[in-house]
Amino acid sequence: MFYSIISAALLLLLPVSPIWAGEKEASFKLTGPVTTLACKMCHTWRKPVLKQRDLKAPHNKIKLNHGAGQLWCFSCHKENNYANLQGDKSAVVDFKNPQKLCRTCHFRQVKSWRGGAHGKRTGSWQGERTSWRCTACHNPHSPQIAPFKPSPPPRRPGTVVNIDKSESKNGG
Amino acid sequence: MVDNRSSRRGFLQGTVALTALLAGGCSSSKEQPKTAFEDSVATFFQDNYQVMTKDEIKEVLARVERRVKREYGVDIKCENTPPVADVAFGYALNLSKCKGTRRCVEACVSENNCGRNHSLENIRVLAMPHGTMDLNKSDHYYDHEQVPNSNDWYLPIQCHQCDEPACVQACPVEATWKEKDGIVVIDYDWCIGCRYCSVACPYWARHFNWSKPNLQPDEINPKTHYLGNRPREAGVMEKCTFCIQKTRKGELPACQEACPTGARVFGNLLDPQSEIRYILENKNVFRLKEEQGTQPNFWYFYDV
Ligand code: SF4
Ligand code: SF4
Repeated sequence: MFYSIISAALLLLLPVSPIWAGEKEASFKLTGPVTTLACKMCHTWRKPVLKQRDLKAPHNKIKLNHGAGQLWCFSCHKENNYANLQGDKSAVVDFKNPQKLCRTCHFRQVKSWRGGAHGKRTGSWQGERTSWRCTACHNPHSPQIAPFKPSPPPRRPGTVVNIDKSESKNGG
Repeated sequence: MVDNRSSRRGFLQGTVALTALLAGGCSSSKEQPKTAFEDSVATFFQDNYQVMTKDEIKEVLARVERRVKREYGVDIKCENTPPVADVAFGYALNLSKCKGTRRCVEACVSENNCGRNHSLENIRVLAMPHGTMDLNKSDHYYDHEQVPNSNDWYLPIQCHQCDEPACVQACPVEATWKEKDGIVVIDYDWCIGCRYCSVACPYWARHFNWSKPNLQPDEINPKTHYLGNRPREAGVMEKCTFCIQKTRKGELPACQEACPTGARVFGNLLDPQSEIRYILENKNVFRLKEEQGTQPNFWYFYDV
């Protein structure tokens, strides 16, 4: 009891707030689509199921594959504020700045992204930076990017290609 | 020496004028559209880009545009945008992120008017077996159904725009040199096709046009640069120029734009706020074959 009073008093004296409370805006412009949720359409009159379960219609399109089964809708969306995002330990975050929520777990990635070593810049290499926001590349419900087919390999020396593309005209 | 050169040039120009006169049938060649013959004669006697005057360059650019129009029926714009002041280009590539999708290669070929028949690809993506850095074990012809393949990691290589370029030292005719912004370029009209540079380059970054590039008119990118992506002729060397036609106008190179994983970071090494500087200062970066001493401006790093 004594210690908790002391530590509470100390906390009050601390000049800096805990890292999750305030997050400064990104110092550069963000781009990419922002999908907001229409949860309110039903969940004003229908109570959401707060417990983890298999998602059925109308939520069956969401394949939740994030956090190895540890996360659930309410890890990032809060029942009283569907217009914004909020993690269990994060401040209220608007959909345009998902990094403020992502960073509660993926702080290394967000740090790299801020510096420019993760994600990518778009438009120009000079002047004010514009980068894709986290959710432009990662589906937040299933953030791992799936493997895909690579573009075709170069031609091996000595093999012939593109016979149909007027080879004779241009000398092969 | 200088005098000799300029008198040789005066003589050549006289010859050109004479030939043009003969070919053009005594008509004043200034108002008449130039014939293919006149143009090829003028190209034959054309000087090295580095010593051309502004007017000569203007003529040369117009000649390139006419040639492409004649050969492919396409109107292109050939420019010679100079280096931007206080800029030195650098590239960093995140090997943890590269998944070997070859999207960069595809974008490079179409941006840079590379030949479609001989697969002249300025970027080579090596599939490397896990646990080795031995380039001899790599395979750049991999044709995996899906990437990343569980046995490999991927190492893309292109011209590293070295500060001590071995290719430039090897060229016997000074057809290739390093520009102020760090880009190593080739004057395709001055190149004699000896291929010394491609032997000298430790990064397999130079590619030779054994034949005329098989370009279809609809495949031609009309925004070109004299030292960059203008359609090449047979018998000349070519290489990555960090998309000189785009980057000197502030745009990003095509490979950076195409990369679906964000593995590629391009920027100005002289700008302390740039992302590339952040990477050089905060990540564990390395350069390939550093022992060769060519001082590449291309770094690799991992997510750590
Ligand atoms: S990578 Fe090769 S072609 Fe490019 S500058 Fe270095 S030596 Fe020259
Ligand atoms: S191939 Fe062209 S650029 Fe290369 S060394 Fe020979 S003349 Fe120079």
